[in-house]
Amino acid sequence: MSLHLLGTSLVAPMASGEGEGFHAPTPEEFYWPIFGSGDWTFTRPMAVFGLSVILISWALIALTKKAAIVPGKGQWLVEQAYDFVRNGLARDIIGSKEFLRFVPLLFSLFVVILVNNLFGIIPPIQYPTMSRIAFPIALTLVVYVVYHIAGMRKKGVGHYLTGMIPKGLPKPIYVLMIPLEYAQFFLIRPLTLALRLFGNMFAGHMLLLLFVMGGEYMLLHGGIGLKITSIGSFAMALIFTAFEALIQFLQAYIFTLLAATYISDAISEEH
Amino acid sequence: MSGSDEEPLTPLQRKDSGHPGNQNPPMWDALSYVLAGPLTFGIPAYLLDRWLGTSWIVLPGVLIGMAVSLYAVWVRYGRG
Amino acid sequence: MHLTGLAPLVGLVAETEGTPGGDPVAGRMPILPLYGELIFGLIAFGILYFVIAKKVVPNLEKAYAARAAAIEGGMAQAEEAQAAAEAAKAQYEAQLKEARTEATQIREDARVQGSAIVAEMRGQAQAEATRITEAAHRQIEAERSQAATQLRGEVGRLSTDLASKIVGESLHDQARQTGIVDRFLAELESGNLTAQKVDS
Repeated sequence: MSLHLLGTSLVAPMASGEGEGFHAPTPEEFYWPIFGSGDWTFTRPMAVFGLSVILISWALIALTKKAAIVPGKGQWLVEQAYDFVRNGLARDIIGSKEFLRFVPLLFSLFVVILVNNLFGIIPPIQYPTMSRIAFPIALTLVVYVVYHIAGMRKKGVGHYLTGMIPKGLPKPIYVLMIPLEYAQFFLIRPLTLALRLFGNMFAGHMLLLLFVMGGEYMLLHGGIGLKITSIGSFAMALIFTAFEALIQFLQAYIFTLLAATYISDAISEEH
Repeated sequence: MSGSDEEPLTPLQRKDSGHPGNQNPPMWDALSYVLAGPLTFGIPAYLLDRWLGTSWIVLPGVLIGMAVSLYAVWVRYGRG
Repeated sequence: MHLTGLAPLVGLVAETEGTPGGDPVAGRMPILPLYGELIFGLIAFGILYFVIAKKVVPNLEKAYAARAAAIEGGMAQAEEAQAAAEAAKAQYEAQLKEARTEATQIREDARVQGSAIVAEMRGQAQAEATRITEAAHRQIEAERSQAATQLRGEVGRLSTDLASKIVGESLHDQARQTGIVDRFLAELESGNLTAQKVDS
């Protein structure tokens, strides 16, 4: 039964414990070392992320190498995604004057997040890399550095910093608004950007783990009644897998959208 | 972000070189505003509480933060 | 409001590091990064960005530009074709017009020529008719004069015969015979014929 295999491949080897009673999935399920130790362990998500970068690079270069006027199927598909990011996100949000230099970044973000998210439901990988906080943080760091530097280069540091505060509010309110806006621009935005992506992937994968592990436990250790119930659990896992696909796309979109918004905010003259 | 700022314009782009950026932040970003207030004012209040050994400052801090957050959301989204 | 959980949540306190018997980082809070992963992620994304910025995006933009140029070129080509078609149409129309005037000319000529022919024919026929009529007239005249001459001779002879019978003598040989008949006929024609005693 393939679902059984799916279950075992989802569960980290060290977590399949001694087997007395049901273990709900824990965050430790996500830690999956391959070699090394401590902070310098080479983990499975690293392998997956590296694999995704190699796959994406290879596929994109192979499919766009010809740059044909009348695209083939593969190039057409890439162009759909590229057009979505380039015109649907970057140009609309940043404006047609300056968006082009940010398109490579936004397209890279979108593709790498989308592929890594989809890895969460694609066998035999079935591990959403973004459920390891390090990866959303890495991407957010890039976005964070880019939008601040772009803003400072365009407006100068002083003007960039004063431009963050909305103008024309009653004076006393600024006492509260100034700390809020700076916290917003320098802390909360990157925090929510990284945590939103991480949280969605983490929770979604946790949910799938719960249904699959629960179903597996009922099937292997339960009586006849529980064995039947396990079918429902696996069915739920399937339904949530489909639901996850939607969330995974949506999160890639939102991350890219917000990155474009932050860049636009940083370099736009008006607030 | 890279050195080559001036890339050649494509013909499609030349036709559309006056299009401004969208100034309205997307709704997804409202979450960060909602969180910004309670965190900005709640965390200092919490630290102040720990420093002074009290326990009453954090609540008004968080409440003020919420109010400021709502105001900021109104400023960004409500005024149009 | 209970917020003691906030500190570990935002990473101010690193708790539960080191589960018994496991890797020290296995039990780390899921919102705290493993630094190896963080750095690996940055480097890998940097590589991907480099590939996309240097290879993929230029290729795609090139395809975009080529396509836009092709579309614009196609439009120019279409305009050219349309202009050519219009020129051909104008030329055709001019030719048609020319042909039409030519045809009108020819028709006009034919009409003129036709009427000339008709007139000529009519003239010829007229002349022929006149000629025939005149010939007939002449023939009739000739026949009439012939008949008159003959008649005159006949009448003379008959008259003398008659007179001879009446007179009882032959007048035929008389030398004046001719004069008498002629005078008689002349009087007959003029209408003042009077009985005369014929003196012998």
